[in-house]
Amino acid sequence: MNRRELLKRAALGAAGAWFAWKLPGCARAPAPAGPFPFWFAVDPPRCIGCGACVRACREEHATFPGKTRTWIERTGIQPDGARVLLASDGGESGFASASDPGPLRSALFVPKLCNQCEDPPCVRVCPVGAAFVSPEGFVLTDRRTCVGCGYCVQACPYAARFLDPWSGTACACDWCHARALRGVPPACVLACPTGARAFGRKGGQGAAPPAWLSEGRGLALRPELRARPRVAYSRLEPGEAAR
Amino acid sequence: MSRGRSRFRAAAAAAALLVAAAGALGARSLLKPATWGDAGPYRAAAAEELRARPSLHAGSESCRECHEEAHRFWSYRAHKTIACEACHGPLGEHGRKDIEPRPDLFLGGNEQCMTCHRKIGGRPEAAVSQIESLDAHMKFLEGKHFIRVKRAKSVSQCVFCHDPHLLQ
Repeated sequence: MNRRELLKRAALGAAGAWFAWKLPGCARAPAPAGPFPFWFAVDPPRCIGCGACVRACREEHATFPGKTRTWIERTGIQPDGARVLLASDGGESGFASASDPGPLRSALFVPKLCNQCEDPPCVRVCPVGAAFVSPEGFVLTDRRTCVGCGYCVQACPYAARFLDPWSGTACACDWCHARALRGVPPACVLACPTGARAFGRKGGQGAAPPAWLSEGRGLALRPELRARPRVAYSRLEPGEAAR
Repeated sequence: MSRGRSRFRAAAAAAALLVAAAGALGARSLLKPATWGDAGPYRAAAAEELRARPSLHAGSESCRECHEEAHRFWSYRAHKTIACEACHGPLGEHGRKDIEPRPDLFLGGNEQCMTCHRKIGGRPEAAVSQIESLDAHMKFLEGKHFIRVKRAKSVSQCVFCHDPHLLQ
């Protein structure tokens, strides 16, 4: 090895080390202090599609009109048994039969929100560390760091993220984590009239989890994607989830 | 190439590397947000900022102190599972002790009632009573010769006949 080659290699090595140090994804996140202390249970058969959760969420977070952090999906079952996702504004103004494609045998309401995944794809793809996992384990978004690239919006398997047109930065449900840490439930859970949404702290404080959840019968949305979503559903459409 | 010249070039290359490294470090300290990396690969202050966000929905219990009667009726009637703020809007600010309560409570009117009570496919009949539309409901009542229908029509508000706090 001559001098020139040595210098070249040293320069390359220094540049590489600097990049590795600079890139957010390469820095190590410390292990969380303990297991995630909260649970969120959704019981779709109880949902009546009133949209109180969606309106409460908008008022709590002052979301851009037309964008929602949480929403309700209404799936229609047609007389021949075929399932069709019915168009709506996420349930914010309630639902109306006027927009149905035809007569329905029945329909199902499924409340949706951020799953606060244990291995969140949005955090993995964020190039600037704006989507991050807080010391308690919440998946949060730093609006001051976000550059609005939209990678997290594409990466989220649950379509829970969107770009806020006001700031141009990413926005998503955080289970009202500020409220949760104060010991009060998220706004959507507070507003739900039927108990289709339930939230609490593990270990007996506050609301008790529903029987189906404590007996381990909770379902996860699209578990095959290995993001390990934390919202537990009591019942889901075939194809939407597996235990 | 003479020995002296070769030495000079090596020194120049080393100096250039040093300048580049110093520039990179300088740029990093300028561009890196404060508290970045303190707790992980993110701005640690962001977690604190988000945690400081005030709660706008205060919960139904917080209404009891001032609105005791409404709270008592509501608490054992049909609408007891519906939080005050689901109809009246977020009232965390309204309930603060250090400011005058806002008098203009949000009330969505008939549409507010219809978000739950409109008859649509998939809405369980057992969970909530439903009507096709306000017009259809009025027609049904006219067929029953309901004495209040005329007056109700002049007001055309659900709550004129159905007080949401008193409903059985």
